[in-house]
Amino acid sequence: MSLSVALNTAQSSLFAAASKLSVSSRNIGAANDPSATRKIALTATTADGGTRVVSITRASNNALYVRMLQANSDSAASSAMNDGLAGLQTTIGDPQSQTSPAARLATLSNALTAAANTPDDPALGQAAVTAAQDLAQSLNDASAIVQKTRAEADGKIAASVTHVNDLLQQFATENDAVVNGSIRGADVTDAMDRRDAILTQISQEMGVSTVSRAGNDIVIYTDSGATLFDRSPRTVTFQASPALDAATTGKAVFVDGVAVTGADATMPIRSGAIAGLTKVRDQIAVTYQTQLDEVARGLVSAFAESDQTGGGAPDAAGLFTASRGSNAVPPVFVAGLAGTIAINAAVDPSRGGAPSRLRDGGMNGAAYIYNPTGAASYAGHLDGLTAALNATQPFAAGAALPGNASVSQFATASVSWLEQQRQSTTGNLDSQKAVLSQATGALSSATGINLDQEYANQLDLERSYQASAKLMGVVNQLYDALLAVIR
Amino acid sequence: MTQITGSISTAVWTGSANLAVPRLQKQISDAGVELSTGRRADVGLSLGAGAGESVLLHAARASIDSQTKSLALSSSIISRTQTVLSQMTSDANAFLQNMVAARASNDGGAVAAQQAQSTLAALTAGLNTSDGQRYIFAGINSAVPPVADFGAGPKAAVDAAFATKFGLNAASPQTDPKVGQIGAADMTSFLDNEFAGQFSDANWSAAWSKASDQPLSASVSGNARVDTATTANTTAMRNLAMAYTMVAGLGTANLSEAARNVVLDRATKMVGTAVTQLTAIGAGLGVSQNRIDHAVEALTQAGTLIDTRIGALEGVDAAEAKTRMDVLTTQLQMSYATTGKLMQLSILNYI
Repeated sequence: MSLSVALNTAQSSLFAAASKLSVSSRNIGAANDPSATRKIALTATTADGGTRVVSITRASNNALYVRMLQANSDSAASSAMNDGLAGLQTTIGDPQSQTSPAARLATLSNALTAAANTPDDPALGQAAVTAAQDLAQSLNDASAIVQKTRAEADGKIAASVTHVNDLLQQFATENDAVVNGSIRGADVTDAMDRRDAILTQISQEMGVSTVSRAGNDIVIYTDSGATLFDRSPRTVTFQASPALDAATTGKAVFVDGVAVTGADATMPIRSGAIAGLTKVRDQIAVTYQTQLDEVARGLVSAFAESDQTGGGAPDAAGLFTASRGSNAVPPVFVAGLAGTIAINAAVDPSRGGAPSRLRDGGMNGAAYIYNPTGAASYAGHLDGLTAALNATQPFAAGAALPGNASVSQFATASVSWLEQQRQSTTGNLDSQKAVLSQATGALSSATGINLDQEYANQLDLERSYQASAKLMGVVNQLYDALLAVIR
Repeated sequence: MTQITGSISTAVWTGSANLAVPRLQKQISDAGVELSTGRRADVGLSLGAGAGESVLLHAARASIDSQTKSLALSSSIISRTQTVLSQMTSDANAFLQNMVAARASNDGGAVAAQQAQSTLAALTAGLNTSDGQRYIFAGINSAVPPVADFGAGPKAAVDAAFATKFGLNAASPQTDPKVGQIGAADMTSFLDNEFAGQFSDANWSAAWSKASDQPLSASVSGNARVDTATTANTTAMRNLAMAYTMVAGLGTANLSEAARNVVLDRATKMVGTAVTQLTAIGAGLGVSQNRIDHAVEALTQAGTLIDTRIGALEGVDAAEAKTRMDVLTTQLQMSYATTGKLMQLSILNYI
């Protein structure tokens, strides 16, 4: 071994230490970036005994990364559902408050009982009519809130879809950089980090699964199997509905021409914000609207007036009408009834009606008068109305509640249903958040940067650099000594 | 550099203690709300499927309050009716005593007629008693005063029947001198037929009373209703009106002694019957009052039970909430302290 070989070794060691220091300082610089991974400089021994940095790789753990993506999608879906349910919950408020249709209905029932006990007190009749008006209004409001929640979900789906398309474009850029860089043998670790960060963001919007191919290429599918990215980004399309009402269904999201949401979806996605929002828009809010509509229909039919003359005329709408001016009693479910239900103009003083018709009947003409003598303390009809409120009637199956119940029971069951949905979604969200935080922590620990460790490594490298430099000095002195002898 | 088993990244090292902070703060804020209100912070969320029951319980509570209020009103109607009924009974008893006295004296007829007139006026006033909102003897037709003043209403028909039967001066049959010639048998026949006819169902509701046969009532539990008053159409009221009219309106002052005794006997008998009937009505209302009292008692008990149930569903044990808050506060402080400590721990400080 000659002096020049020793000098070469010292030199290569010096370069290797410098490269490693530069990687370590990159790590320190990126320590605050949650998506950054720890970069590792791989060294190899050269033929003449020196070392050199052959490539830079990054710490990775695919199993933990996939688990984090899944937890991210699940928690985004639950979070979207939770937001939607929180919107719907404003129709109920606190059980103690008088916000929910169920509470308003109970108030009306109390007002009717009070009026039946003192039918000759016009103030109590008026109070019952006002309670009925409040109930109709609360159903109208609740229906509006439900449709607003659906419209918001629809708008958020549109925003999500735009975001996914943007992210897929960015993903394409980074993926190209990774694939091309890998062919050239360049350092692609930063591009890979950015690519992972983009994929994490996509998983927020819709559940994904990935397949790695040769050359660090990645293919993205939705969790249902539709292709999102394969060498080039696929288009995700969605047509937002300008207005949603109880009778309209929102449009589906398409990935590469395949429907991934909605009733006709061939590959329905299971997680991510879009899945959660779709569930709110197409299932939870629709079911709740059906419940409200059925409460409204139950009210119209419970308060309907029947022909008192024995003439066999059909029942006609009493205190509650399906819409302003209509006197029909709908026999089956009508979508959007809760939005249109109103009190009968014949009892509404602001529209020229008389509240006393609640006691006497006759909102639909003389044949429907229950109290022909106009006796002031006649309570028979009011008692009958209370009984009708508590009488069992059939309800539509789409409401996901017991099919046979009284209007009051049905309205209460609807409150229970919504709160139960909320409770279970909140519970899911909490546990999914815990899973996400745990998966993120595990991933970060496995692939993230530890400043102390980097600093300790740098001390190591400093020593090695000093030793190599010292060696060069020694070799230099040896050369000097040799040359002095020759001179 | 090799991967170290059990390694940890700086982000996790310094962030893990921080992660719990927002959750702890939310829980402390909830515990604060629970402590100040005594109810759960988000009742609907904590109850879930039980939220419907809570809505129903609050409604039931409101219903109990409103029923109690309307039963108190019904009670007051009953006492009002009882007061009027006992006044009528004492008027009737006074009338009976006066009849005995009238029979004994020579000018007893005139005195009896006078007294009958004022007792009839008192009966009319009693039947038209109103509590300010309703005429309590009018039955369900409570918006109109049930009976007309005798002089302004039924008197004409009674006078006409009297004048026609005995061929008297139609304008003022009572003062016609021919009244003195009416025999006892004729008077009996008149009282049994033409006079009694004035008080038949049809004539009673045409000339005397606008009341409904259906008395005021209140519902005590569910759909069970009890009467809270009686109506002016009951036999007792008709008998009283008939007896008083008999003595007041048939010229008792001028009748022969025999005919006068027929009238007085008949009136005494009818008033006696009516007093018994009034007592029976009073007893019936007493039963109603009793049922209302029981209903109020039951409502009070139900109210207490509902309050307990609402408390169990929505309430929070203040001691438990306070303890929880203390524990959470300690936890939060520890989390802050840990974060601070971890931040200080760096290899840089030791090299």
